[in-house]
Amino acid sequence: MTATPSPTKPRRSDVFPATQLTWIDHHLDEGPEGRGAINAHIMSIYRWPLSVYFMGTRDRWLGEPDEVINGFFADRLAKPNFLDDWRASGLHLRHWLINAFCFYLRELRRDQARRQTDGVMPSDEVVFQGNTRDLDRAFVAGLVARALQAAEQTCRRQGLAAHWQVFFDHFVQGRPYDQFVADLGIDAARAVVMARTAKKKFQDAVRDLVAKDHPAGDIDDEIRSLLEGH
Amino acid sequence: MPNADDRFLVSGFASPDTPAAAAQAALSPMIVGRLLRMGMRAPARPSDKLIDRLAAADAHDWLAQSLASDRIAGAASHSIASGGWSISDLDALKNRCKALTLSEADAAARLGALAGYYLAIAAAIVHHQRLISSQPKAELASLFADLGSAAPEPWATLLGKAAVALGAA
Repeated sequence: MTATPSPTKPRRSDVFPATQLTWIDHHLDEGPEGRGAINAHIMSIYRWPLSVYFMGTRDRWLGEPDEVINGFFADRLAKPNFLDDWRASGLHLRHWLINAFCFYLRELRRDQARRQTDGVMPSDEVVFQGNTRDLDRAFVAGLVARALQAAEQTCRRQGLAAHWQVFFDHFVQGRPYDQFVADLGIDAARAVVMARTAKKKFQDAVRDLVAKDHPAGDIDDEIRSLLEGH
Repeated sequence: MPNADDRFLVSGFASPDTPAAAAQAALSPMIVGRLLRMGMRAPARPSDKLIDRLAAADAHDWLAQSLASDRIAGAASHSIASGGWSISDLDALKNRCKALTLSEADAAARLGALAGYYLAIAAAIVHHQRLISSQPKAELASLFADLGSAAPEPWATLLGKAAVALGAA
């Protein structure tokens, strides 16, 4: 189903200059179907960093990580302005999400307190209890994993499964070409070239995911910054 | 407890459509860093336009015609890849093409000359085990691998062999 945006609500293309429109803006303009794609992206990339953060807080008693994080996604991603507010904030998406998650945890603590202690509140601060470095490291690990999956899917779709296999064996598994290329029926010269083709798909996937986290940033600068904290 | 320092199991994101190879990978922080670094774009090189041209659908014919030009390699161009040229002929071809990349007014002709320049260097490495360029080996190896990933055969094989001979990663 292709949803038509409400005629009373301005499209993002009416609000942001065309050059600043992002993948997320375009999908927001597509209505519920586009929003579903955005939510799937956010949940696949940011679940792991939020889990790392949650398990490092004093709030672990609030529930199982999956349960709490699913609840957070269900609550916040359903809010119509959640992503518009993020865009207006200028923050990296991962930092916007962790801020929102801290507020969500406070709401859970309040709910629990009301149920268990007749409204007497325990510590009710909204505190980011980790540091952004831990969060960024978890984000990077998830981003790289997702980029590998995306690039592999692209390669398979384009008939480049063998190229992907060479890239994966060499660059991810760390195997020298001459240890495995004979099994694939190719020589090292061919393998080097095939790996480059798949490497380009992987590079595109990484850059796409980095751009989605901070659309206003320079992608190379963003990667450099993530590498410094890694 | 999840920890960012732990090896990151890609299957943590597994779903029914997760590709098998990725799902089996356990990524150490070192590998994650190395893979993330691959996302950075190298500074633009003069050869990038040639790589784009070689990736076009008509690249095979374009390259054959460019190399066969009398100003570049002429009718014997097809035997560059198979080892039919002497080292002195390849060196002369390289120098001729280098001059053309500077003097040609037409952009397409400049790209053709650039192709001849790199193929002469690659053929010298593969067929004569001689490096006739002063460019650093690592740069050339990376460049040949990139050119080879876009070039049609038999040039892709020649460039791949040259990249391996120079120690391409």
